[in-house]
This record gives sequence, structure tokens and C-alpha cells, in this order.
Amino acid sequence: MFNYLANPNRFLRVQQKVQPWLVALTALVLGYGLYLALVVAPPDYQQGETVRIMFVHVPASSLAMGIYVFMAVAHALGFVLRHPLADAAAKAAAPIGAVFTLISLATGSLWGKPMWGTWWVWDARLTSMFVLFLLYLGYIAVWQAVDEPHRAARVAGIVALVGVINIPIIKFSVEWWNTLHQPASLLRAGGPAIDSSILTPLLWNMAGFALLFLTLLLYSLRAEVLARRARQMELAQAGASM
Amino acid sequence: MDFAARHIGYVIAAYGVALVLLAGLVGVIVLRMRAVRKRLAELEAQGARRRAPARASSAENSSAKPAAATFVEGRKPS
Repeated sequence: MFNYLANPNRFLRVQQKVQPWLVALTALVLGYGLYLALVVAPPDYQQGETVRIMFVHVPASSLAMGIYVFMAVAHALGFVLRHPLADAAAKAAAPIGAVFTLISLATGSLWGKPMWGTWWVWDARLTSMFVLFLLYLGYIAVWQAVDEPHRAARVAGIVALVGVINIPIIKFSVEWWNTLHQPASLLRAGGPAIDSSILTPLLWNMAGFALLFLTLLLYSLRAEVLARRARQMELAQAGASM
Repeated sequence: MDFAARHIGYVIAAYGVALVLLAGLVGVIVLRMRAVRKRLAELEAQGARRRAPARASSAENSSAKPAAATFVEGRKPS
């Protein structure tokens, strides 16, 4: 499958066929997840209604980290296997990851004010998440700053591969340092520490957000492939007129 | 959801912020696609092709590939 989609023309054909189904599936899963989150899930016995913020905050945070790992893996494959779409996929994923990181920071802050009594603290988890946002911005800036796609991919790949060290720091920050942010309650030894009435909507929303990412990624990657095609035509046109 | 509950404004604000940011992201991606399609259509209307016409010197070597042809895959010409 990975090699099959290495051909940009084949990717464009497959993406065009898959896109409507993916949009429909995303709408269904995300719609049902939001219904569970806003209507079915009970208020938490401690957090009250503010627990509903978690149904956006947790999926956005997971994806913010997951997308950065995806970008680093894509660049690694671009470096090693020279997969033609790997760098383009990483480039297409970056703005989506940046927005999910911003959603994570904003919703975390909106949850923190009523629950912790503060919008922000410079604890290890929040700070490392903010660093992730800056890494996304730096990565996007590299693509904007360097004109030639191959050179931009190399520099951006270095940013992605060096920056991925921040992901385990985010994940384990709550264990390595004394943080205001609570320890992991989903991915932890001994299983999730969340009641099923909250866990089920959370998992549906995580699936919905992941599908939303996939839908936006494929559409954005299509735009990137077409943009490179336009660039190729411009170069050929310029070459012919010389 | 109890709209009279304490701190409900924070919940509404959180969903509102997420919605606005995601809508903005979708908007940016869709606008970029439109701009790219428009540019491609303009180039095609101008008769631009993805490969430069072969020149007399390079035509002698049939295995030579135009330099620009490989850029669609984001790769340096080999």
C-alpha cells in the first residue's frame, strides 16, 4: 500500500475515490462522538460540566503529538527510502498539527481557569506542549522560507527529526517532574483510570478527530502534489523560453 | 449538558474556540486548493507542459531527462 501510493498520479486517483467516503465517515463518527460528549456523558462528580472540555482537549493533544511523530517518520522515510510523497505528506500535515496543538493549549487553558484557578502555569507539561507549537511554527516557516522543494524538505526534515525528541518529554513530563498537570489517565500501566461513561465518548471523539486529520491530510496532500505539478510546468515553461 | 451549570461558559468557549480554529484550517486548505487549481488551469491554457520540449543537443541522448521533470516528486534531478 505504501509503495503503491508512491506514484503521485496513482495517489491522486485513489484520493479522489476515497475522499467522499472519508468525509462521510468523519462526519458520522465525529457527530456521534460530539452527541455522546455533549448530551449523553454525565457531569463529572468533581469537575462538573467542565469535564466536557476533555472530549476536545484530549483528542487534540493526542493528535498534536501524533502528527509530529508522523511528520518525523515521513521525513525519515523520505531520507532513507526516498519515497516521493513522504516529504509532501509531512509538509501537508504540519498546519493541521499546529492547529490541533493550538486547540490543545486553548482548551487546556479554558479548563485550567475554573479547575486550577489559573489560565496558565509554566509547568513541564504545559511548557513542553508550548514548545511543540513553536516547533510546528518553525517547521512551517522553513517550508515558506526555502523556495526549492528538495532543499526545503531536507532542512524541514532536520527540524522534524530533531524536534521529535520533545514528544517523549511531553508524554513523560508528568512523571519526570512535579507538575500541576495530572498524570496520564488513558495510556498508563494498569489500563485507563476513567469511568466508561466518560471513556466511551472520549474514544469516539479521538476516533473522529483522527479521521478528521486523515481527511484533511489527504486533501491537503492533493493540493501539494498539484502545486508541485504547477511548479514543474512553470519551470518547464521558463526552460523552454530560455 | 446543563446550560445553567457553574463554569458552563468555559465549556462553551472551549468548543467555540475549537470550532473556529478547525473552520479556519479547513478554509485555508480549501482556498489553497482553489488557488492551485486556478494556477494549473492558467498554465494549461497557456499550453505549458510538465516537460520542457527536447532540445537538439539533448535529443541526441534519448535517456536524458529534462531537469524540471522530476520536481513533481519533490526530488532533485539526478
